[in-house]
Amino acid sequence: MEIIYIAILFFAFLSGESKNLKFSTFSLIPHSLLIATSVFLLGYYQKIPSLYLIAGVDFLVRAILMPVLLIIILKQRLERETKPLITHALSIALSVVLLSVIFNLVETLKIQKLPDVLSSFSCGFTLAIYGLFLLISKRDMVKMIIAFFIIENGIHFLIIALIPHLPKGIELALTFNFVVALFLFIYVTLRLNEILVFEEIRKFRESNIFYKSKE
Amino acid sequence: MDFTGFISVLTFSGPMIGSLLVFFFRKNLISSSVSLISIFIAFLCTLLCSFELGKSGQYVIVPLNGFYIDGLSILMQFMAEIVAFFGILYSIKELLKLYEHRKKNFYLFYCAILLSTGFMNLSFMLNNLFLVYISLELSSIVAVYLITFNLSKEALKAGFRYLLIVNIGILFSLVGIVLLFYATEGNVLIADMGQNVRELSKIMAFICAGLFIVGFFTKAGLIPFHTWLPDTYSQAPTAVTVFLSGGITKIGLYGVTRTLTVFSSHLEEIKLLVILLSSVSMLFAAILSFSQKDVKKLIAYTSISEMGIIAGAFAINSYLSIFGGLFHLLNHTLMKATLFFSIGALIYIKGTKIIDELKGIGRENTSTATSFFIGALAVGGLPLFGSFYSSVTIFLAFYQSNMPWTSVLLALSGFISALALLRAATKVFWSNAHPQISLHVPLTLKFCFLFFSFSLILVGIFPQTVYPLLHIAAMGILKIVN
Repeated sequence: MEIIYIAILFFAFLSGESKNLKFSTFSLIPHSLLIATSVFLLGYYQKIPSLYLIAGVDFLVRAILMPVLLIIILKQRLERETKPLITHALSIALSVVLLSVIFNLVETLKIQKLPDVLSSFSCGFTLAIYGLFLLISKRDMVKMIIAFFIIENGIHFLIIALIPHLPKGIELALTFNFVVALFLFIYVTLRLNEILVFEEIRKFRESNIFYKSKE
Repeated sequence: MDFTGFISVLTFSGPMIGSLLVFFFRKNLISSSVSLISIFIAFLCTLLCSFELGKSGQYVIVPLNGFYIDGLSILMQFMAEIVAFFGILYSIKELLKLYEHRKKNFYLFYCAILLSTGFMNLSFMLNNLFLVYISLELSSIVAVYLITFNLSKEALKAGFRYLLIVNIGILFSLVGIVLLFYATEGNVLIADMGQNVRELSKIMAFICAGLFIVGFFTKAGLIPFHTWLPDTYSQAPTAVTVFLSGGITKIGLYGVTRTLTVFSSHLEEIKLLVILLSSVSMLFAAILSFSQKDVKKLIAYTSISEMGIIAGAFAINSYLSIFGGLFHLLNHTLMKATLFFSIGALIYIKGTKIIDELKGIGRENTSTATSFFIGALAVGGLPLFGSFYSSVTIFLAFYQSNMPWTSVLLALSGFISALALLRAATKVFWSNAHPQISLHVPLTLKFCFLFFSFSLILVGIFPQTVYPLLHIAAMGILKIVN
């Protein structure tokens, strides 16, 4: 399982640090697929059938719906990320340190103090913290949505680790909340993109008129 | 299902069914009428629920499995329904003039208000913290549509920030609930909170309380998690601003009451932390209000300051402080509705929120001016208004719990907030500038702000009218704590 968790963190890192937003979005697909797989495997090893359903929902929402919606946003805008608050090199360095240190630290802590908690705990905790780091350091709206998604995935993993027998209804309702929030994110971002594109066109036209009148 | 169960279900299903009807009928007149009627039905059902609670002779009723209705639930529902009702009434004219470009989507605006109110009412009645979380989360997510209704760049940015910060903030409280569930082996019922927290280890209690602080303080817009609030209040239509200040942000305080009040009664350190953070909100928000040029942002900052007072009062955890906190919660709704509705009438006339651009516009609007001054003086906690009694009660509660410095901060923040509001009011209402535009304010708008300013005075002169409900609510909270 550990190799799957490391792969999940790796794809989260790729998604968070890539300058190309399309690549970031596509990196979310293996990230989410691995999440669904790990939930399924946890269900299988721990003999918790309700986790199969959750894995199925995760596959639909996280691995298919989320990337599709992000690609819709990207159709209307540049694929390059808006300049973040910190330099790219520093961001990569901090991310590597953060991901490796927190994952190992929490894993050790979990083995010593929380032996009955499921193995997804350390990965979930690391994802949530990494998502917060992305949220603070990035300024691009798409990257912020990705950061929100990574935090949400982390908390989803935490819930599964701490309460694998959470009633299915509550788990599904939590996913429903996430989907509603996601749709509203997409709605607001698309509308904002429309305005920004419109403003760019207006500025371009004005500058053309200015140069023509000069000539 | 017995009668009590039926009416308690109607309090949240009424607005939800109303939103479905509005979605299908779509016509503007039908949409607004159906919205008003469904909120009124919900209000009547809440009133009946309060009678049932009074008749029961206890401080809690459990009409259906999974429900937990006490005085706080009833009080919160009343406030949500009142601001939703008057918000809809106010928006009828406001939308037609200021948001004409969104004419085709007015029905969706009403749908969103009704859905949000329905989910809010539901979250105030549920017993399981997970379900409370899901319901309050849905209520605040739906409000994004209302905030961004104008579809201007600033409104969309404010909506995006709200969605991001509030969503992530509230996820912290979800982690808190998950931890509590883990530590208590599956019991996250509000009714058992006191018992559960007492049995928690100290370290687990600290972690849970910390997560609840981040989550619910973000939702309530308290400093340092307030960054979404001023822009959101400023960019939303005035009717929505009142709905947000009287309903949506109150959900955060509801969460504080249900969780942090219990934690702070068992752990002195958490009590001190909450009071410290609340004091920071009280003072700094009042100071920040002074530098605002946007009148709605100014009122938003004074609102944060008052939310700090209320959160601090709930943390003290004595009967007096909880009673005062609940009374101030009610007054806060009345004061903010008065201020936002009256200044909204001027924004309706001029179409701007900038204080300097509103200069002189209120000079000949006597009713608007009177209403705004009533709201501003009430914020200062002057006699004749309900806020005087609630502020004095909280002041005494802080003093009795050996925290005189908090009492001083409370008085100081109230004074600064009132000063900032009066400074803006003198510019808007007493300036010599003569705007060359029609100063006609529609009757529905006038009715809304006059209703709330009249209510402020009424509660100030006859505070005993609301005491029974506040008493039941305070006893309900203490019942969980102990």
